[in-house]
Formats: sequence, C-alpha cells, structure tokens
Amino acid sequence: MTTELQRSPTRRPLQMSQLGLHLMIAFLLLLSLVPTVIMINLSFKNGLQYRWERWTLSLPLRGSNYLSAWDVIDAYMINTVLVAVVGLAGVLILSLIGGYVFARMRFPLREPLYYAIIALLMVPWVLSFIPAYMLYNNLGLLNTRWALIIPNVAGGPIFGIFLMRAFITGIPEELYESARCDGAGAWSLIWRITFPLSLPGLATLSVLNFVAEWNSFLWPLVTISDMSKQVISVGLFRLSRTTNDLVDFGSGGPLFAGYVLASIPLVILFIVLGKFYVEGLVESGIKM
Amino acid sequence: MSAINQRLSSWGLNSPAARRNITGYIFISPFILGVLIWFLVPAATAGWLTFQKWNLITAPRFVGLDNIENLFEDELFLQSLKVTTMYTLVAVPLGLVLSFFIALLLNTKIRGISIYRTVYYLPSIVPAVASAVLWAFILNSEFGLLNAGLRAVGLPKILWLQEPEWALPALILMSLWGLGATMVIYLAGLQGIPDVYYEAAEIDGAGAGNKLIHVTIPLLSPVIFFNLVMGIIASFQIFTAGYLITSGGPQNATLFYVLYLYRAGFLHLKMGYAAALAWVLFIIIMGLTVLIFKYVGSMIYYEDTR
Repeated sequence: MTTELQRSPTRRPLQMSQLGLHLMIAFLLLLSLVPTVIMINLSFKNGLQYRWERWTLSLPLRGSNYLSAWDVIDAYMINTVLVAVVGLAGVLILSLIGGYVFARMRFPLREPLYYAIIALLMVPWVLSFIPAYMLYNNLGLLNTRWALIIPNVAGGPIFGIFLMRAFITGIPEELYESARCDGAGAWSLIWRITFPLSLPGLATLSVLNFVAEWNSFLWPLVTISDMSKQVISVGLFRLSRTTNDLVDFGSGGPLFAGYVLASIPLVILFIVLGKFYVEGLVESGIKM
Repeated sequence: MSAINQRLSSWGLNSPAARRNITGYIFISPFILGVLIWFLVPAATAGWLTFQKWNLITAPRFVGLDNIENLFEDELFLQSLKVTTMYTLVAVPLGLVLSFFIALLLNTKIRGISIYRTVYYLPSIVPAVASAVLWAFILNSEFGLLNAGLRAVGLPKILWLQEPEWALPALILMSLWGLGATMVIYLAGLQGIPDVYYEAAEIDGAGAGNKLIHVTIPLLSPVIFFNLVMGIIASFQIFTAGYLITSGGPQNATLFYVLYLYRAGFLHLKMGYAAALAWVLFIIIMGLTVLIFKYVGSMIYYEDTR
C-alpha cells in the first residue's frame, strides 16, 4: 500500500476535508467491528459475567476460556487446515494451467469451451448435491477426507480459471516470445514464466478458496459423520448445539473463545496475503 | 513421448500447429474430467432423479412429471421462492451500493488506510457459523444488543427473530456485515483506474460528483456488473443464515430456497422432489443471468474489447 502514498496527492475522489473523511471512515469501521468486538468480549467472560454483564467489559479477563475451547476444537482446526491446503494446492495447479491454456494457447473451440466453463459459475452447487452424495457413498468415500478434498479440486478451478485467465492475459507477450525463441515448450512456459509472474493472482485465489473452504458447512455436515475427521464449521455448530444448555446456564465464554480461535487462521492468511490479494485483483481487472 | 509422437503423426497431427492444438486439450483435460465426473454427471443425474420417486432406501421409481406438477401446488415451494426473491431484491442492491460507497472511502489516500482496509475486512473473515450465533445474540429480543440500543434512544423493542415481518429484514441487516470481499473487488477496480482520467476531468473543471458519474462509475461498470451477477447467483443459494439463526421461521418467513430443498431431500427423504427443486433453481439462476447480460450487459463500458 506504500506505493499509493507516493502517487500524486492531487486526486481526491471525494472533496472533503481530511478530518471529515477520517471521521466517516472511523464511524463505518466502528460499526463494522461491533460484532467482532462483541465476540472477543464474550470470549473472556466466566459464567456469572456472561449472564449479567453480557455487553460490557468485565474484569478480570478469563483467558482460560481459550484453553477449554482449544481442547475441543483443535482437531477440527487441524482437519480443516489439512483438507483446505491439499485442496487448494490442486485448485491452484489446475487454475494456473487452465488460465494459461485459455489466455495463451490457440486451439479450435477455445472460446466456446472457455464460455462453457464460465457458465458453470451459474450452476448452483445444490444441483449436484444429492447425486454427488450418492456417488461418494457408492465409491466408499463418505467419511473420508477425500469427500472434502475432491469437490474443491473439481469445482474450485471454475472460478480459478476465470481469474487466472484474466491475470495471465495481462502478462506481456514479449516474455513468452523470447522464451519460445530459446526453445521453451508449453510446460516450461507455464512453470518458468507464467507461475512466477502470477503469484499475486494465485494469492487472490488462495484467499478466496481458503475462506470458502473454511466456511464450507452443509457438505461436510452430511458426508462426514466421524467427528474425528470433521471440519471447523460443523465442529463449531455441534459445539453451539451441545453447549446450548450451558449457554442458558450462563457459561458461553469458551464457545465464543472457540469462535475467536477459529477466526485466527483466516486473519493470519489475510494479513500475510492481503497486499497480494488486492494486487492480484487489480491486475486481473475482473470482467465478465 | 516418442510413442505418442508416432501415434500423433499416424493421425496426421504431427505438424507444430496441430501439436499445439493437442497440447491445449491435454493440459485442460484433467480439469474437464474432474468437472465431468464430480460435478456435471451428478448434475445430470439430478435431472434424471427429477422424474423419479426415491427415498434413498428403496429403489427409485419412475413417476413422470409428478414432482414437477407437485411443485406448483406446494405452498412451501412458493413461499421459499418468494422469501429468496425478496431477500435478493433487497440485500443484493443494498450490498452493492454500500460496499461501493465504502470502497470509495477506503480508496482515498490518507494515513493508515491499509490498516482501515484490513480492519474493515475482518467481519467477513469470522466463520459463518460463529457469525450466525453471534447475530442470534445481537438480534435476541430479550437481551440483544440491537434492542438495548433501541431502548436507549426511546424506541420500543422489536421481536426481530419472532415476528415474521422482521425476520427477513434482520437477516438482510446481518448480511451487510459480510461485504468485505465485494468491497475489495471494488477497491481493486478503483485502483486500476489510471490517475490521468481524473486529472483530465479536473482540467475540464469537473467536481467530485462529476468525476464519480463520468469517470469512476463508467470505468468501474464491468466490476459493478461482475459483483451484481455473482451477488445474485450467491444470494439465490443462501443457506447458512436461515438454517442456523431462524431455522426457516418464524412461520417460514426465512425459508430460503436451498433450506427448503435440503429439508425435502435430507429430512423428508424426497430425493426426486429435491432434485426437481434443484433444477428449477438452476433454471431460475440461468434465466436471470441471461436477462442481466442482455439488459444490463449492454450498458457496460469495456475499455479494450478482447
């Protein structure tokens, strides 16, 4: 983001005093942060505080809620990271190759094929839901991690190819030409040239895909019954349901601590990749 | 490889151009195969299931158009369609405008703006399940924060999740806290607009309003269009909020389409009927997208046509 600060300061889309702008942004941010702050605040409460001081800060903070929460959700978190990372690797590889094929290679029916793939974005996931469930059942894949990895690797590149094609189209053709003169084949054009130059686009795709996987709920709920393989969304859901009595009794602190813990991987991901995430979107110049 | 080359030349496909053609297909084939097996074949099977009666346990039985005929007599189907359409009609435009406005604000060059952007994105990162429980708390009529706020300014409390007329607005309100991704896409679009356009407009004496209407919005129209299409597609498939917070209630006021479909299939084990619902949803989404491309797509300004 530093590059922008160095750009000419003459452009101001909104002619307002800096102070007014600051105030407006700050107000909106405060508003948008309310749920997050409430979640963190609730996560530090003991039973009584939770019951009587729900919306205010209560001291001392009960950090041990986080230990109780971690004890319950650690396996779900690890499962989700495992499934999401393996799936993401597949999505990135297929999207990079697919993006390259549609941006750079020439072959008959390329455009109709590309638009057919983009049209898949319109197909609701529920359309394949029930038969896919039966397919996984018949193949004995229910209750295995494959049931969570395969749908992502198969479906994730649909948007991925759309994004990576737009991104790769922006890479200067001269780079490819000079590499071709040096005798590089399609395979090495992908890995030696496209891949290193596509990192921001891949970062964008990683954030979007990982967040989607982290929030995937209904499919794991019906395909995974063995809780030792279950993912975080369903884990949190079960936790909310089983602690319902506890919530009424007044000790939801650990539950909310669990929610905070479950958010942390995504926060880290966004902070690490955030800059590239926006850059990748800028350079791909999304168009339909 | 040489064996492949031999085979290719025997088909007359060994010219460099033909080889390139083949390479394209070979490279894309793992993806195509994956989509076919795990996505399109099941989707087509759903088409077949539409004409069957099947409870997962006994064998499917052909029932012709029964499932489709039943649809139009099913009040819950019509209700779920109505709820989902109303949600889409309000939440999507509202979200598009609000996130556009916020992106404009966050695109200004003031100190600490990148921190603001990250902070604004945070609520979109909280897992959907967590955010659902959290909002059930905020909207709770007895101890909820929203009603506490209303009380503080002297307004009567609202039974957000118990009154049929308030439940859907409550979920729409909640959706406004998940706009981070849409906002970032706008932001990226804004950053892609070259400064020279604004400078030229300034030379012509354009004020902030004119620059917004004559520079920003036309140049950003492909991005707005993208967000509109994706927003509508996603909105018609909303599930989690209705399932977790309201369970479709009160009085089916938040019975979203996919929630009803899930119940038909996995609760009542009417797989054929659920498949019919899924196909109807697909046709609705496809029809809407085609209409949007036809009527809105022509208004989009593409800087360089590919």
